[in-house]
Amino acid sequence: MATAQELSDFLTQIERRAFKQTVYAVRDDHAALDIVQDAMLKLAEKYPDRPANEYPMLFQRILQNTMRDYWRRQKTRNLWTTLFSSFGSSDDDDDERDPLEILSSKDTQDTPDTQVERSQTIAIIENALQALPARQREAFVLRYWEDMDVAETAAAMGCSQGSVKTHCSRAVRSLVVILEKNGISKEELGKSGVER
Amino acid sequence: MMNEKDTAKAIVSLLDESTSRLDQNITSRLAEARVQAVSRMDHSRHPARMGLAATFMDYMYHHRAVSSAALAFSALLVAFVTTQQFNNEAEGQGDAFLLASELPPEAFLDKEFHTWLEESSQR
Repeated sequence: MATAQELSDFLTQIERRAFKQTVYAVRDDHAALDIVQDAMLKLAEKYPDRPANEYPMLFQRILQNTMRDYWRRQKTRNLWTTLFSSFGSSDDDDDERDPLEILSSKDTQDTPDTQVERSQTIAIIENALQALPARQREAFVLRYWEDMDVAETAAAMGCSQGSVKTHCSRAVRSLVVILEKNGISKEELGKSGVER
Repeated sequence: MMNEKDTAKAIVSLLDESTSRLDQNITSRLAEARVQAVSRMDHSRHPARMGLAATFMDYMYHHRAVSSAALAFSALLVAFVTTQQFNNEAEGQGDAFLLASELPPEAFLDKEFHTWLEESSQR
């Protein structure tokens, strides 16, 4: 049975990644915060007696399910909104923002060139991740960012190990294509990653 | 030449870097959520929360929308049934009053009509 301290340590370790991961999926900081908070509470309330080593898997499953619940609610809400309001200004244009536009608005700090370049690369990667199909993004994040093995990723996603491999492979390929379109080659990417 | 895994690792290392640049408001809200979750963990382990009542309360908490709809529906149902019963009682009371009255039911009949009828037929 995990202690409160172990739960706290685990949440401290994953909370930022979980937030980012959720933002890539829902594209809304406030909604992402609510989802992560909800997932944390569910983990604490429903699985207080589980050992700490089960937390990563449990948390990821809860997080994915909470995101799905969010999408279901959004779908219903959007249906009613579309039915009752066709006059409001459209905020959906945000989805089609050019990554470079975001960069110019966010990166206003006076930083050295290399830092600016890295920030640009990160923003392009984040936008590329948001553009990926949900399952590919999920597989990529769990497998490579959360460092789960193929079996754990498959269990968390509720699919076969073969599907995980396919999703991961397609995700990496799509990301590379998007990065190359933005002038970032694999080698440059490797250098940026190693420079940290 | 980088393979798939190396490419993924390079991407992930940049993503890790992005998490360290999160806004202060976001990190503090995440910290609040963490503290709240840890306190809930202690709360759920508390023996007072065990049992059927606790399970019911948890269910109600996690199904707030359904519970609210069920409560609203129940209130409407109770209001409808009560109204129906009241109407039925009001109708029944009229007959009961006539039957239980000391005067015979004929006393309540309109005798003036018969008088008028006899007088009219004699003309």
